[in-house]
Amino acid sequence: MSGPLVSVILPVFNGERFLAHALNSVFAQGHDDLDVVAVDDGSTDGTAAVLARYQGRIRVIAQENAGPAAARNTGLAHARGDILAFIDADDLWHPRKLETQLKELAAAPDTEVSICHVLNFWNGDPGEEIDVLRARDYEILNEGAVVQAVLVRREVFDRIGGFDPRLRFGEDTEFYVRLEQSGIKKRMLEQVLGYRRIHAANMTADWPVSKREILVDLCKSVLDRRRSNGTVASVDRSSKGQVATGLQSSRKPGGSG
Amino acid sequence: MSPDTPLELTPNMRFSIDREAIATKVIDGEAIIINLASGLYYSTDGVGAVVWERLAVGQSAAEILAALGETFGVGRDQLDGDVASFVSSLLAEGLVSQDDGEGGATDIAVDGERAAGTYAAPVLDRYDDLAHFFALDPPLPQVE
Repeated sequence: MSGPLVSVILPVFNGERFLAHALNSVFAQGHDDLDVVAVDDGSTDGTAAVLARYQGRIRVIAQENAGPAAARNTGLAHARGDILAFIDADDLWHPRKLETQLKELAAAPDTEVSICHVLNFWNGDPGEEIDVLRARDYEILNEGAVVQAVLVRREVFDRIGGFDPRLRFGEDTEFYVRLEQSGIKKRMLEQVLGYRRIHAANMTADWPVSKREILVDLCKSVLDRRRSNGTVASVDRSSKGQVATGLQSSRKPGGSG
Repeated sequence: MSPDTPLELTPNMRFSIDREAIATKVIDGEAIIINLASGLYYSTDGVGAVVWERLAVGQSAAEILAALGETFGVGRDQLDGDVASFVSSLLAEGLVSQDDGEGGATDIAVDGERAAGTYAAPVLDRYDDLAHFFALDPPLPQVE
């Protein structure tokens, strides 16, 4: 399937375990015009060796560890396509994700971003993950604003900026906040086209505390950005209208994913 | 308590924060406060952030007012009224509750430096535009 050049930005830090699966799901799209930009964010495991197996099919940018936001921004800076997609090193795409979302962008020319649903799943070491999940008392999280849900025109980033490198966590939610509040035209797809892998390595030891801090840092980032834009009022009103986000559903272990 | 109801701060009055319902941190001298149940979030800086931090660690009204008076050199009449009004807002928004015991000592994470400044009456700003991003239930698989 040919079409517009799509740049796929893949930030990775110590992601050797599932990285090949993520890359294979990108190449399974069957889209001929792909520009895959892998940003190795200072990995110390076998990530580089896995990336090397895809030599000639991907471009690898190596940098000192700076966090996922900075790594995605590096990817943005090197991307050649006018349409941008994202995947994390432990996630998977549905085989028809690109095709479906490209149709969305083509269907309404003023649409600037397509957002799909993303399904959480886990497998691999069910004992390990289930034990970890049972031990946690998960608190609030964002409403599933994950970056891999979007297919977005490059000019969107020219208008609203890249990811906030000050945020080590929650940078994707902060991006969604800006996207929503920017007035950029979005189309929401009621389909699961992405899969977010839950595994021990992406659940931090102090997860409940981290998630609270993520949200507080997010609020601070939002307020600081508005102040720099001169758009903060003493009391802001809620945004109106439909919220379009990459929603996360959940599935019990053992289901197909 | 309505913010219109005058609050009289008595010397030993203390307050506590429900750490289950409230997420908060002071960043570069600005206190960010999220009411996780309502989805509203708040900010206060300067004197307001100082009051918030001191309330959180269980200081009494007398201790807070004394510290502010010493720091900013402001008369007690003005301080008492301003801080009482501010604490009334915190109570009205459900961010603190009056503690009849020893006070709920709670550490608040503090990032960055607080710039020394002149006195200004504490103000609590409220925002409600991110409520839909604060899901109460984690969107993660339910484990049986």
